Amino acid sequence: MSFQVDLDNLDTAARLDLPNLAKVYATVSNEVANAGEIAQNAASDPPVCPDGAAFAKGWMELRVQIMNALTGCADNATKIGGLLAHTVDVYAATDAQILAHMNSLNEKLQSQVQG
Amino acid sequence: MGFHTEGDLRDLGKQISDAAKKAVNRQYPPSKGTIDGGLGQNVDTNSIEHYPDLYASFATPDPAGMQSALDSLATMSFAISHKFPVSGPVGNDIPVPSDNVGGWANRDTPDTIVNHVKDDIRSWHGDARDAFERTVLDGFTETSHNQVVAINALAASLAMHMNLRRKLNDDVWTVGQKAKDAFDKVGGFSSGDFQILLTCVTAALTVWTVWGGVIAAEGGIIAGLGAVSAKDAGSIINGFNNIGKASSAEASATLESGTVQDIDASMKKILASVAKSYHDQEQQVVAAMNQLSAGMKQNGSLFRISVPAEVDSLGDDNDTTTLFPHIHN
Repeated sequence: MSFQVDLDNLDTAARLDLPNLAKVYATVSNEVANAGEIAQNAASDPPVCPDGAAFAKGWMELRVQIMNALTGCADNATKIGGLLAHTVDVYAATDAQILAHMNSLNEKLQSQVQG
Repeated sequence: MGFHTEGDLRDLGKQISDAAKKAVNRQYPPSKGTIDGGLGQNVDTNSIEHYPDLYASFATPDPAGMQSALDSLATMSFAISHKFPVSGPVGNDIPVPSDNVGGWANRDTPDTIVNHVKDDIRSWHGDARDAFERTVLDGFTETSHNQVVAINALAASLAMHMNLRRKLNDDVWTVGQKAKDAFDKVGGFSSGDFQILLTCVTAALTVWTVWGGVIAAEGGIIAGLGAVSAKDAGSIINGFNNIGKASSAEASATLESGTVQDIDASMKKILASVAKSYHDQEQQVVAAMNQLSAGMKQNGSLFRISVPAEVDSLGDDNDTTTLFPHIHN
């Protein structure tokens, strides 16, 4: 297996899979956020037993905790994808430098042989 | 039974009030020379006049208005796990989410994507790779499972709340109908069935019996909390498991019939019992949710993967020496 193929796989992880993972988390977080549309309904306690909208407050707080977890995962998947992408770029640049150096050596050797 | 609005409840209260007034006249027929048959000292007419307000005080918005949120949460649970938390129909008219998950059935879950990444890095060897798989990739897997547990608990809490409101509405309506019927029969010869099944008493427990079983089957809140001490994790799951179990409220009641006073007092007692049952169960649900929220705050790493500080600081420095030293060897 060539080093170039390994970089391709790593690049797939960096620029396809991890961003896709981030997108899943972000989308789910947005939908959980949208569930907050029930706020007014949930907060309308029956007058016979007013609870200060305790259920609505507690539910919204738990929802926020879940949103934070999901958004955090989305952000970190993006960051890790970025790190891997940078790693790939560094490897590729190094690889390109080596390839250029090898090509230069090869040309010199060819010219010596022909000379 | 359909949901009854505040207007419906107020109208019912008016009907009961009218029936009660007629019952008063039958119980205390106006005698010659008197206006009200001397009933003023025997019947709380002011209370009867306020029956519309009494019944309207049990009004809430239709919990069906929260169904879309329940559907959405279940779909998001599916999006992460490709498992549907609860599907209906379920007996006792328990709120269940729609099983229409849309395009999520064709999208990769976080677990699947993580496996793609593991496959992508299979030719990468060394300590850094091992650390990356162990702390990052496996971390995504573990936290996503815990997130599903939390989302399902959020959805279950909403379903319990919806059912509480629905059953409160049902029970108040039933009590009102029985009370009207009882007033109509005051002074008459026929008796009636005044036993009332109070469904609000078990409204939350009935829902948790279904949802809680699903959450437990998926590894449970205890398993999902992982490194949290057994005591803390146990208290969170116990908080949900105890919903509705500690109640001493009776699931059925008998409306006293006979006199206007008996019906009035009995009706109010049953209504008060229903209100208390609703309040107590709602408080239990709130307590369980708050405990889970606190648990998530205190144990954030179980629900959200973190990254090394070096990743955050990577920025424009392009410094990979710390994380990937072998690149530069």
